[in-house]
Amino acid sequence: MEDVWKVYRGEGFEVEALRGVSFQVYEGEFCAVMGPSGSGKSTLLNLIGALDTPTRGRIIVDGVDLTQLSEGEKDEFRNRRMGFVFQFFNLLNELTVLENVMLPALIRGVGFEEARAEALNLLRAVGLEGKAGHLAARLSGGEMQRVSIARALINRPALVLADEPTGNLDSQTSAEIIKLMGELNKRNRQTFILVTHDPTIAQAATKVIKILDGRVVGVEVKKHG
Amino acid sequence: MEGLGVRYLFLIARRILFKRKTSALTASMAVAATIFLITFNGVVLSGVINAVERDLATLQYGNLEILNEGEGYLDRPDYQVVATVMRHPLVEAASPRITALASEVSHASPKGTWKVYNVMVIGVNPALEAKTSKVFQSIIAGRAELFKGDALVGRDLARDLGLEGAKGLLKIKVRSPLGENSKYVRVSGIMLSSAAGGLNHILVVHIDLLRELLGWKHKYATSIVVKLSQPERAGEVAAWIESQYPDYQVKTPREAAKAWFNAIVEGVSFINLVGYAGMIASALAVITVLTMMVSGKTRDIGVLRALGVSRRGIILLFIFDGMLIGLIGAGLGGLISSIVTLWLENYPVAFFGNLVLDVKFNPLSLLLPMLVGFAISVAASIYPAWKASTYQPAEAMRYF
Repeated sequence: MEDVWKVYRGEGFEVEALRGVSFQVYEGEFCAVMGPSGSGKSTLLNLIGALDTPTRGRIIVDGVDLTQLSEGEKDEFRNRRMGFVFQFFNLLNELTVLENVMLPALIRGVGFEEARAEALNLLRAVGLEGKAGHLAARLSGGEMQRVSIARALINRPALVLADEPTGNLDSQTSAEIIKLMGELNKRNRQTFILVTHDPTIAQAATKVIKILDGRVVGVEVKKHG
Repeated sequence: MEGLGVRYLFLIARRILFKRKTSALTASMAVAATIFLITFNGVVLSGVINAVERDLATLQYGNLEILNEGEGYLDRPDYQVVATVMRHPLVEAASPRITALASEVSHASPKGTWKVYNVMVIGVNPALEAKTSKVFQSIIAGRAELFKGDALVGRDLARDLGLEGAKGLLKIKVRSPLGENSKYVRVSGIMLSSAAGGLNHILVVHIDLLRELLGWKHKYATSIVVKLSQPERAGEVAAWIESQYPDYQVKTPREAAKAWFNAIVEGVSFINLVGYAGMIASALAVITVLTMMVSGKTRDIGVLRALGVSRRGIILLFIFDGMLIGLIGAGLGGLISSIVTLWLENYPVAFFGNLVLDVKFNPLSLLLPMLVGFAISVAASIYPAWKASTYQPAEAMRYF
């Protein structure tokens, strides 16, 4: 990110959510973005995920300047090169677990059978193969987040973005989810950027970016065995 | 990007819609109700027209009516015209008639004298009329026969004349160019026909009696009614008769009673306006249900956008829902309309008192309202679909 600003303007007010944020995350890193509520973490994640547009600055992901993309190109970029994991899981309750995981692949245009096979592989990897036919709404929080992770990975994205992935889970389930994401990061060499309050995620991360009042106030790079 | 197509969008659309069965069914029923209303109007319209045509043909005009509009009467002896017409192989029977206006018909009884003014009188040849029309089959009291001094009285006219059953004497006054003539006739029968048949207010007498009242010396008639073995080939026979008598006009019941048919069509057209207003209401119902659905699925729309579904994809998603509502509504509307039409076809109901509807089930006639209902449902989904597509993913995902 290069000098990224995000200013929200309304009638009679203006909020600077991000103020000249710059940092780099390299391929294969497991990066945690930490900061208190209102510091601009989620805004940052939305901008990296091409879900929102910066007021100023450049965001380059996997060699592509997101600020230069049209809306359609952003849709395609999100689908093919990014995976999302949300705090509230954001699964489609009307679909089954398997269908939720298949969805990004189907959107990409992958055939139904191919998408199904890949989704089942991922569900096996996250330990939920047996619940493929269940409706997403009937799962526990931890199970939903595992499905969400499987969904984020199905298109083998270069970058996985997670917004408070453990924010809605108990500590034991949080630990399992962090472990799972760490393993996937190592196995697939995919870059993970996680926005979190959770210090255990920060411990597992190879890079920690600290943010306060819309500015980066510290970057910590760690070595992990 | 959406490569292999939109199957997944259809899957999501279906699941979203069927999760809200009550709303989906309400919108579908609104579409179905308007399809039914329009179809029902059409069925009633065609049923009434068929019935009117049938009754007019069997009671008043035959399958064809020969007239001379210039003179007001056929200026050749009626037996000659009948004999000529009967030469056509499709003509089953033909009968001369004289139609006139009685300035006064009165009935004197011990209870008093009843008078009715300006009564339509039809003079018929009983022997030929019995083969050509169902006038004699409309007798509900008295005798189904007509001698020269007899009269058949329409039920309503009989009531206005204070007749008690098919008995009594009537005095008929008719004005002619030579002055006013009057004659007494004996009531021999009371007629009851459908409103369309129109015999309930008229008097039927022997054609020779009416000629005497009018002071006609020749065996002329005002019209010849013709019964055909194949009424659907009326045009062909009419052309042949006109070739034999170029100065005469030959009309089908629909042409002869144009005003009647126009009145029915105008009436039903007005009712149809209500049906089309209903279409607007059903469109509003679809818009309301889909708008509620869009509002309820704001977060999911955001998620789909985040996963890479384009704005076009979101529009398609909700248009699919409109299509599903339209399909269910058109199916239900078509089904209900078919059942009602088939029921009316097999168990005819009477309209306007005793006009028995002549309904014929025609699946093709259902097609247009079903297509219109479906199209309106799809069109009504465009606005909510467009609205859904305008949601920004980051904002939409904040909704719960």
